[in-house]
Amino acid sequence: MARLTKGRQGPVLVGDIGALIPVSRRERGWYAAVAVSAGIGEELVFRGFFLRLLNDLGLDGLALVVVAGVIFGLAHVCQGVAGVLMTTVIGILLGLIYIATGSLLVAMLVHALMDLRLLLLTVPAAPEHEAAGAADPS
Amino acid sequence: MLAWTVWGISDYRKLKLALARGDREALIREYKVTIAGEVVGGALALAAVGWSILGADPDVDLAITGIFRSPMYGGIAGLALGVLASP
Repeated sequence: MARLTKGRQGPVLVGDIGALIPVSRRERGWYAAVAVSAGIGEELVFRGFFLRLLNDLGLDGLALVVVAGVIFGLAHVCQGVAGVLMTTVIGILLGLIYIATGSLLVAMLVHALMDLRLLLLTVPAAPEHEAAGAADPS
Repeated sequence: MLAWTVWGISDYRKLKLALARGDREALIREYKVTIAGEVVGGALALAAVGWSILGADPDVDLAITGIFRSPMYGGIAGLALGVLASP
């Protein structure tokens, strides 16, 4: 999911994620659901499953966390080189959090909060300016 | 994994083209597909490794992780999270 830093002219996106930024209230609501589901689902897969799998294959220590982080980064290849590098670093950090705390829940929470941060750094569109589809109650 | 990554590149390219045409609904569809992917991926990981995937070291355990170790309470907690996250 989205990673960004804040610059003088507003949020500076790290990686090619501009198309994923929500604008209308409806989009922001769905994005929040994406962020939470990504926090839970991706931690189950990339930290829970892959760390266990790689450990069973003989990797241990920092190498284990780094390889799992690289796999996580490569899964974000659609975000370009910068996105892959950024998500690799974040994947390594989340792996360290999981191992250090022994709890996948902590990594899930951190992951979801990082993705939800996008909602704080972007401003929702005024209702009158929202896309026509945003008013669709379905 | 490779197929998923290749599909992701193609899917993201289609999303950008749709947004360039002014089709904002494409973004909502992308979000829904992403959520479905996360749910399926997470369920497969759980099925492959089991609930111990969430297990914490007893020495550094947090009270709330006990909830997630139980399938029943984990399901209830997951449902509550889903309701809270829904738009």
